[in-house]
Amino acid sequence: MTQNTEDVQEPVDLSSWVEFCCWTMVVLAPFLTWVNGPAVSTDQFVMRTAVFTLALAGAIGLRVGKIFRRRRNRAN
Amino acid sequence: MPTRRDDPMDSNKAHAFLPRLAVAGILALHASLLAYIAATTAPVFDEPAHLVSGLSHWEFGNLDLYRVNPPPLRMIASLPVYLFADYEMDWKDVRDDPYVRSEFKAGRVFLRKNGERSFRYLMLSRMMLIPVSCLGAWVCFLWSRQLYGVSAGFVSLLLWCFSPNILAWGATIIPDLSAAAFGVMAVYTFWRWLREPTWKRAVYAGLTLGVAQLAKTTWIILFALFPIIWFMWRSPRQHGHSLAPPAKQFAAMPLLAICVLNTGYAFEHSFRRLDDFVFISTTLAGDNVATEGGNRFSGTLLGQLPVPFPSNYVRGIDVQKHDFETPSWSYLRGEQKRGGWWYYYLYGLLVKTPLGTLALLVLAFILLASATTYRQPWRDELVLLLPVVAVLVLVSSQTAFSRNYRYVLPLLPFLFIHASRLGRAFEIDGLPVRLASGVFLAASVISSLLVFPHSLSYFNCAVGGPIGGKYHLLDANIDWGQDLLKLKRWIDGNPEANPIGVAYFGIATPALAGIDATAVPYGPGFEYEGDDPGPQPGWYAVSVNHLMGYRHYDIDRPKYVYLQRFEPVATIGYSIYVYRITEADVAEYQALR
Repeated sequence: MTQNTEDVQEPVDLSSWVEFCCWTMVVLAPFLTWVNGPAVSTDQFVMRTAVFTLALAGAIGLRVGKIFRRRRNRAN
Repeated sequence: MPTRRDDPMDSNKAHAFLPRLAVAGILALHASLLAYIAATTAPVFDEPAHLVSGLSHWEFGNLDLYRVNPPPLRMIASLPVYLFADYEMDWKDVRDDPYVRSEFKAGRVFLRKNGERSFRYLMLSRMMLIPVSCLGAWVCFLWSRQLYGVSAGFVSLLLWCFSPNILAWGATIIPDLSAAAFGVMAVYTFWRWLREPTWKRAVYAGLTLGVAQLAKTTWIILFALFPIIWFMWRSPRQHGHSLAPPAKQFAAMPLLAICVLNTGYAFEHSFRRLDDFVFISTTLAGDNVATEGGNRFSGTLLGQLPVPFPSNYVRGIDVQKHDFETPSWSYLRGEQKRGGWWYYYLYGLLVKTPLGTLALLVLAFILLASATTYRQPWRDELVLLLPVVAVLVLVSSQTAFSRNYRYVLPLLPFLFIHASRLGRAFEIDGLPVRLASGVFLAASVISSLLVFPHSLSYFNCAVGGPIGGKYHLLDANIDWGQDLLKLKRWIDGNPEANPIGVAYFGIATPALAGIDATAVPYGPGFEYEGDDPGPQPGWYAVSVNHLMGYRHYDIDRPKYVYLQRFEPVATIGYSIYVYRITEADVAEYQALR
């Protein structure tokens, strides 16, 4: 198999996989925080909170967006 | 009537634009993470030496200082300091003695002369090299995309941009990260020439090969590796590669690279006869090397040949070789000895790489062996994997000491690109691989970000994270002086911890950061006559290297390991532990002894 060229290929429904990765991060975050121990600095604490929040927001946002799109498609 | 909204060309443009926007966004985020670390951490051990060496090149026009690494990167890093900063420096003790690495003393002098301003100068110089890391990420994306598709491109891009080791070293002016970026660029352009040999691509390959030499002398191995790869590509043709890479174009590459290398040194003393050099390493000077050095090529035919490399490049390799021939103290998994271990860097890869990334690599190897969908022709795979083997063999063979995991940074981008083949699963029907890839990639990213900005101290959770890492690796792998400024902030926020004793592992001093520190008492058996041995009541901040009894220098002794019996009240980054010892603690310690 030889891969095609340098043209940008159209990714296949990556939003589902981005959502999946976000949920994975939400699930893994508590475990990894427990392994690494509490944050040792304020900026690390801020980063941990931000990462968890963004992952959760991304997961929920993408899930809700998907539900709305499905409903709109059914209505159409 | 179709509306503009229905125009498929607009839809195609949007689909082409979104990946580009995503790449730009990820690179911008990566640069921001690097800039944050660069702005908030103290100089690590070797950085002042790099900075002051760069300044000496600009000031005096000679390239002698820090000759073990080529000069251009530190010249770029030091340029804003040279042009705009009102720095002070006393050069009188700097001398060109082959056995003395004057750059480290010069670095200390620079810190002493400029005080707290040194931190700002270092921060400025660090910012200059952040684009190099972005370049490395971009090359990984391009190469992965060409091999395995655009999703694979994003996998390698994310692996680079969120790798804790890339973040740690990309935020310093230590050249190992730049070597990774320019090395992958050199091999990538060479690969592009192999696939479609044209003179234009040959010129790019030659130029980038030269630039890689100017990043770190490690890449001298490419002069041996490229002929091997080229020879393999010239064996019987297979579908997809219609042209054999021509010998003339191939021959032009090293010539171009040597021109670039010499240009990077301004052709300083290039083409000197080999027997004119005075070497200090046994490899180049001979077994009976005198204290003034020697040259094993004197009196030979080879010795009469002019060396097409700059003199300081050759002498730098000699000095580096001499360092690697001189046994030094090394630490691995609780054991300290003079000399290193051949498996040290493999072990470092296992404990300092996120488990998600390791899982991606293992899965990628399995698919490489078992599934043609995830595989390119063997020649393409060889170009990717041979540099990994070559760098690992090169660094692992130097067993006089084992201290710096960063020496294997140059092989990381090739591993990321190899792992990125799993991105194919997002473009074909491969649900199990997609699931696994998604989990492992997410795990890699979050594992790194949860330790940020203390990325230099990163260890994966198999060894207990950064807290457990000190039982496995020390020195620049966990504590290289990066948390001094954070210690200052902690002390300012905890005025009750005053006075505080500080045993700091780093090139700067606590006084430089505005810390009014006292000494930490030495442990029993190590105290000076007339002094009381530790533990003594008080507040103490101790670098983890000292806490573990690490011997960086010969004179170091495990003076502070007694503090391991106590629970720290705070951890500064993961490299400095703060203790509050009370009278009761001392009494309990004495009772147990």
